[in-house]
Amino acid sequence: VTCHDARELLAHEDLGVALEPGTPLAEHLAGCADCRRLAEALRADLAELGVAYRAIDSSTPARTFAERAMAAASDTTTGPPPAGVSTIRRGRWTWMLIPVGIAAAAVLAVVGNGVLNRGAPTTAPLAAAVAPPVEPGVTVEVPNGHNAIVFETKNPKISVVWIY
Amino acid sequence: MTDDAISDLVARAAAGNAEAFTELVRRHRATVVRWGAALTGDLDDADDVAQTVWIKAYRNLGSYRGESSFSTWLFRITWNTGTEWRRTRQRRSERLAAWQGANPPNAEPPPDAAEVDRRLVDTVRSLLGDLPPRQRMVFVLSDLEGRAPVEIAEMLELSAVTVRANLFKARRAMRARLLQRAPELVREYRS
Repeated sequence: VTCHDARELLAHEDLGVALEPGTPLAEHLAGCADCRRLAEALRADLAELGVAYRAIDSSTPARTFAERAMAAASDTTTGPPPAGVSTIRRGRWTWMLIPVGIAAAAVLAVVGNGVLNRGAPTTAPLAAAVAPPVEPGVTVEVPNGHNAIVFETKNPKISVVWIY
Repeated sequence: MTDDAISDLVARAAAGNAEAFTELVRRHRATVVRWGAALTGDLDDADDVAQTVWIKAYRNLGSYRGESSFSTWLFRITWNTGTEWRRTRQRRSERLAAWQGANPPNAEPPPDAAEVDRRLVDTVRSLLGDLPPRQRMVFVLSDLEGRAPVEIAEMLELSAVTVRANLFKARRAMRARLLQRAPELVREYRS
């Protein structure tokens, strides 16, 4: 085995097998410091890569994966989320968006109420125009000429009211 | 765990036993996430792929006949999901690039990923990232998971010869990449 042969073997052979004592490659390495250094560097890097790969894990508990899968399967109206759509992060964003939605609804209600009552001051409290986060089934009062949509979230304590 | 025990879990999970399904997920969770990380190069994306895999697996448990091992069956779902993910990501990148008039941004690690996990995935991604997906997975399954070419052939639905050819190319590319970290060795390697 020449140095060229040895490097060819090192390039694509299974090092665990190729470097076993008694193989032609092992015998060459025993007498060639340069090739031995190359083999040692490769083996160390491959070992590091193996450690990194095996250490990869998810922070999502198995129970969470399972519960989401079972919940999705029980929802017959939709298929599984397409790959590339962030199911995990979507959940996080949903919770961030709910208070934003509520705030936006409140702003809309304030603007709507102000426009409607311009020049006609009213003593009616603003709170009457926009319902605070409501329990399902609670009536939402809106100014005349306006409509409201109530979005119910998965959290029964949080609903989003959109007045337009 | 024996194949019989896994088959029993699968049967109970397919019948709607939540604990059995959770146990199946627990036993294969890390493996599926690693496959996802190898396919996507990102831990959050790997989590997303894994979630989709478990949804598909749960819906299709009834079709698992035990003709292959459960992990092989699960790998097929992961591979198909990862392929779909890559296509979706590619289309999005192309649209974004066209819209921005710039090169598509590479998948940056999300800011909320744990630093340690991110480094691990970065290491794997930096070394595996440029390999074609099939070569990458052959390399992962063979040299990082220690699976035999025959098993890999079944998992990827390839012939054993094709697996070996892919492994040959993947190792060659990988080892050249590894040696780029040490320029003096690269010179020797090329000499």
